[in-house]
Amino acid sequence: MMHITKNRAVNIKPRTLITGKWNQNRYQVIKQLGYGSIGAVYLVQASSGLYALKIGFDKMGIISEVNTLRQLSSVQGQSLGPFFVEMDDWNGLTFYVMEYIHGQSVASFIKNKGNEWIVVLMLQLLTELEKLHQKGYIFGDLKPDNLIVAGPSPRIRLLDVGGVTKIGRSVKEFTSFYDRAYWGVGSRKAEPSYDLFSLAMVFFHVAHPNVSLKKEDGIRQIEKKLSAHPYLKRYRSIFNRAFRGEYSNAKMMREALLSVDGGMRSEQRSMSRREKKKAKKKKRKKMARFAFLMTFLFLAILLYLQFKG
Amino acid sequence: MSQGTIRQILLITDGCSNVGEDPSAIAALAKEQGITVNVIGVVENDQIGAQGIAEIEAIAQAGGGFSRIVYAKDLSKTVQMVTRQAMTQTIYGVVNRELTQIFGEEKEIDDLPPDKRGEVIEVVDELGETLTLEVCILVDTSASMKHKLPTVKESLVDLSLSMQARVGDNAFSVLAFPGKRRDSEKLLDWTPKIDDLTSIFHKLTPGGVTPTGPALRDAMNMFSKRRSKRRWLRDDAYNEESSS
Repeated sequence: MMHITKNRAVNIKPRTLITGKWNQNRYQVIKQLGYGSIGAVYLVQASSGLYALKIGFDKMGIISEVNTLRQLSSVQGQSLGPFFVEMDDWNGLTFYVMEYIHGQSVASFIKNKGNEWIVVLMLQLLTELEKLHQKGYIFGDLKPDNLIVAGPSPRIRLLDVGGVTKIGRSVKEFTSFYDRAYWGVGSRKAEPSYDLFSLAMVFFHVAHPNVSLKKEDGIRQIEKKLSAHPYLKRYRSIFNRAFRGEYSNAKMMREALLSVDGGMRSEQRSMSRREKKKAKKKKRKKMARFAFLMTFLFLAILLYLQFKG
Repeated sequence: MSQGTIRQILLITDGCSNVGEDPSAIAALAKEQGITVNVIGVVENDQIGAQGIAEIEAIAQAGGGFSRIVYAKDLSKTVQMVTRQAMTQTIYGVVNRELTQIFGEEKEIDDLPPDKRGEVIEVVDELGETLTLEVCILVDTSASMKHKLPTVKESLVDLSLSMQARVGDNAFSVLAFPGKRRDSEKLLDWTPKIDDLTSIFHKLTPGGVTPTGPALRDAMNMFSKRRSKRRWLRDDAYNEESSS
């Protein structure tokens, strides 16, 4: 009898000091943040502050991720993923250091703040994805674990770039629930619509935390659930189009989402207009009553004066 | 990696061999032939014996590949991960040898400063996406595997789905062991994609013996058959050309 153990697991105890072989920078391990297919991520303390450090046996994977991070960091302004700091070796393992993004999961953020944030986060994420797609890459493994909402003004950020794939290639890493090929509605070829499917699935999942889906029932069951959701049902046609790969880029989907809310605003406007009209009508009625009263008084005075005279 | 092709055997099993040659020896033989052997041990609620695990690890090690012990539900993901990792490792090995040739002695990627590694890995990634991949999948269909076969089937279709998204060509073949009268049964001859295994897995009658070693030999032979068939085809074309 034997337990099933994670093969080649990396387990570094808190307070361990990691000193890079090449650059001689020191990082003290605080705690483990997560575990991925190629290694573990630790929160570490350096003299210049807190960082996230990813370390693993899969050198190839680590170096490949560093390549991606470098690519993404070269975008002007804000980095699409975490900022890349450096790569080095320690005890025969390869590691890299990146920005530590402190925040909360999308699910807990929505639970605390309310459903109306769902579309805000979707719009933010679509902007990020559009930038990434413009650079010729897709994110690939888009799932709640790889997203974080950082403050102070809530902003969604992408973590773990292990799945980032050049457009036209085969998707490097994916998670079946968020993978369109798993649901039988597309291939695993890296194209923007691959990410858009996953994005729709992520936010479906966020809005329906307790729903369990069956592969056999396909994408239909999701569409059904969406049209019953009190908040998301307004956006259901956009979700459905994303599920079917009908948006060829993130911008198209973003604009579609914006137009739903733009539509709502004009609806509000027309409602208030109606209200204004009603108010006007009331005013007019009041005026009419006043005028009637005045004429009556005037007539009464006239009559009185006539009799007196 | 001759002619830009990566060759792999993927063994899916749930326990120990009990008949025939030592599977590790055959795996080592395959490695010498330039074929990597990966092994996945599938367990369900029932647990796998220590002996089974030891054998799985030994086969993969001898075959220069990877081994994983997983629950049936994680099979799909694991099959792909193992295939990809072994693929990259093969290319990595070739690149390392090239580096040794260029710089002499034991110069490997690890000996390069971090900043220089990126470019090497980019080449490795590129090759992994474009090279031809040939995988012979060897499925243990002994009695204890019976109820796991639908999951196995699904994960193979899924593997094919992923690999088809690559730029390079793919070829898959599937063998099951034990066969009816032989050590293994060919379920699927070399094909660019696996889309329907339902009918073939149905025909199987799970038996009692587990001839892992001989079955591995059969899988290894699948590659030489493919090569000789190709050579024959090429010769044929050549003959036609010369006669005209």
